[in-house]
Amino acid sequence: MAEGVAQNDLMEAVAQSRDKQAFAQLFDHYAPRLKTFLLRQGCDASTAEELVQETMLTLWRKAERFDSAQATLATWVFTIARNKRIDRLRRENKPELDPNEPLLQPETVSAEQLVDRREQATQLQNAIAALPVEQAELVRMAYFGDVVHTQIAEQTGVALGTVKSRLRLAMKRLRRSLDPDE
Amino acid sequence: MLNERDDLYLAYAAGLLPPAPSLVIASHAALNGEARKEIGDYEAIAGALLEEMAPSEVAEDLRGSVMQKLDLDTPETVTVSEGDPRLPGPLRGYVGARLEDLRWRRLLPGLRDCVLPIGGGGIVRLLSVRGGAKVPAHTHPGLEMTLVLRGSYSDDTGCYGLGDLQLADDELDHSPVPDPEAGCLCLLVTHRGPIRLTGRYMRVLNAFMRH
Repeated sequence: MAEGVAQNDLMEAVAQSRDKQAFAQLFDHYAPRLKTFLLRQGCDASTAEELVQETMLTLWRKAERFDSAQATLATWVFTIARNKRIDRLRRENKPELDPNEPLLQPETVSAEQLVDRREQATQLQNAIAALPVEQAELVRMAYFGDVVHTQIAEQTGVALGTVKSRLRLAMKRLRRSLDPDE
Repeated sequence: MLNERDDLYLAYAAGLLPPAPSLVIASHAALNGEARKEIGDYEAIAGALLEEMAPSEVAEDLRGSVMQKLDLDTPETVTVSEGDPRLPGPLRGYVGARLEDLRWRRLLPGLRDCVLPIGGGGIVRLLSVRGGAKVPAHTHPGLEMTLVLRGSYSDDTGCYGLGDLQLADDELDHSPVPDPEAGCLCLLVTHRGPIRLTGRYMRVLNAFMRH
């Protein structure tokens, strides 16, 4: 968690004083991880690097829009990359679309939902760590669509329905860790 | 049910949904607090997964080339997206014009639509039904996602108002009745067959979506 706090400080330096040194550190942390994430989702290497580049530039340009009360920095970075990827898929198929059209941006959470995201992030990491191994693998699979894990599931003779209900159970646990009152 | 809501929310949050259904889910989330909360949770999980990723090697000059571009652009100011303020944010930017200025196609008396060009499969359209107009009974040759943007409609399964999302598959044969006064404006995505997720390794999740 010390890492997450340090990153928020770096982000603040970027937002408030356009601190390039701080940006370079954020780049070194997120760019290689984001690339792995995108590769796992089936992006080819050059597309992944282009998306990483665009995402990090957006982080710089829209730095003042990051609100640590609403999301962790990792979540914000992820959603920027995700929206860029969808945007790109949209344009690839319809080149006549205005390249400057705004990104798909889901609106932000309401005020009463604001809680300490750092605390939440820790709880979430703990919850992921506490999941039975096979459930944690299924969660990753759901985000990456990685067939390898399913083959494992198939090899162990687990029916698809069971796989699915385990995933549901795992997601429920993780969501509960984000919202212990529910 | 062909596609369950949670599956769609999760696939959207993860970035695995194609552009057309992504647009519907993003617009739905903008209008519906519960959906927004659930999707926000899934995004938080994605953030946690991003933190635990093993770093990949990136091209040596990648950081340098990004750093060079930092000075080329002044920081973006928050821009008010163009388009119709009555539409939810994600859709407003996409439609880009006021509803009155779109090229509507008359289908039946009181019923018109406007197809929005979007890549990645699926047809996205705005459908406007005047109060009192009749919508013919129909089935769907796959998945149909209907998001209410104005007014409301009801069918055998219930009443759908602002921000509500109805998922219908080929088993649903319905005759939606628009609100007699306000009528109804909807965002519609139709897909033949199950929605294919993006990426190379999507067979498994696609199998998920079918059940």
